[in-house]
Amino acid sequence: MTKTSRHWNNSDARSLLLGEFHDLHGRSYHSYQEAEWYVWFLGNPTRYAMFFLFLHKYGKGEMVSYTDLTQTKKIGQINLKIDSIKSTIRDALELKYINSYKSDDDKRVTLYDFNSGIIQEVADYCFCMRRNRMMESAKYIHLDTTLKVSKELNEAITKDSMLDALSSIVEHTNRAVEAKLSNKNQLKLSSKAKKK
Amino acid sequence: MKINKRTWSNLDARSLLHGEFHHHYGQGFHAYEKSDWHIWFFGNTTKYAIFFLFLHKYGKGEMVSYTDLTQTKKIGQVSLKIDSIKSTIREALELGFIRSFKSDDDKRVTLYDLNPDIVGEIADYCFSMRRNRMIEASKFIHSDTTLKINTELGEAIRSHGGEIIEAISSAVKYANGALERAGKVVTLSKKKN
Repeated sequence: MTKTSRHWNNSDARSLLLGEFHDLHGRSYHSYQEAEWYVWFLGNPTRYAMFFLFLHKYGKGEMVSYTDLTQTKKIGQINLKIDSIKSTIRDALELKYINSYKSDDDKRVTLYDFNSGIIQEVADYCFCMRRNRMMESAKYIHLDTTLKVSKELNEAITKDSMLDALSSIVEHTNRAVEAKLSNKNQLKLSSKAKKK
Repeated sequence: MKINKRTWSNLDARSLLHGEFHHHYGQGFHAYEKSDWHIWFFGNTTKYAIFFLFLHKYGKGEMVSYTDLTQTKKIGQVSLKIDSIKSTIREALELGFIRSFKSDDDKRVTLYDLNPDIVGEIADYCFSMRRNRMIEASKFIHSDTTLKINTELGEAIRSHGGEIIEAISSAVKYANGALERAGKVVTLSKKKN
């Protein structure tokens, strides 16, 4: 097994493991737990890997090609097997989770895309996941972290490439907090954000 | 399928789907992609559900009982099957990922816990996941979101009342501190009347 460069004591480990469970638990707060597409796509590692490939391509406004599928990796960094790709794509087409098209450039090439009938639900699922992650992160930092975990997170997020993005999220959350507090006349802003 | 209350334009949908992929991609940044325990626990939905049950119990300083296992649900809110639980636990014991103990209160009861040899790696994996999530969330809000998504996220945060506001306030303070140390503080935090 790979060695860790960081060392976690028992208290840190408990905080991190419990936090990870809370993240998983938070991920269940969406309306699609029993939706057919959700159960199907997240049902095994091959479909799971393909689901995220389809998200990626849809987000970029592109379609999924056979080459994309063969380059996709599942848990353990293992490429998807050709037989598995073929049967999964056939299943997804039959279940109408995806559509197939012939490429404009080369009619021999088939391309795949999400069925537009499920896009709204998939997008809403993605929104719920993002919202749940944000809330869990905020709660973890507020209540469940340890000094060591906090320090290490600081280390990780003060890298140059992160500063602009972090600055933006701080501004965003400050606005949300200020809007809320101005409605309720409560004084719960962090001292930094209130400083004059 | 259920009807959702929110509607997303094509632009919003693309942003959300792409963001979710980025989150998934970010989850790959850890040192345990090829670790035996990672591959094994994430290999199917039963093992995955059991893994998070072990995280939960370890975090609380408790052990996993057979009752906990039978109450665990996997994708689709389906309870784990008894045969599947038995074979998975047997395999995890054989592979040395978990250990079994007899309960102090009742010697007929077997309890399970993560093997301490892999707890350090699992904790580091959890840290990497948390770090990656924070970085991805910051990047999404900074670069990839849309006005509608921002509004809906703000709405969701506001609708969760005082507790989440306190948590966010705490996170803001935390992030402000990180930014100040790097000498790059956002305008709102520096604002003077």
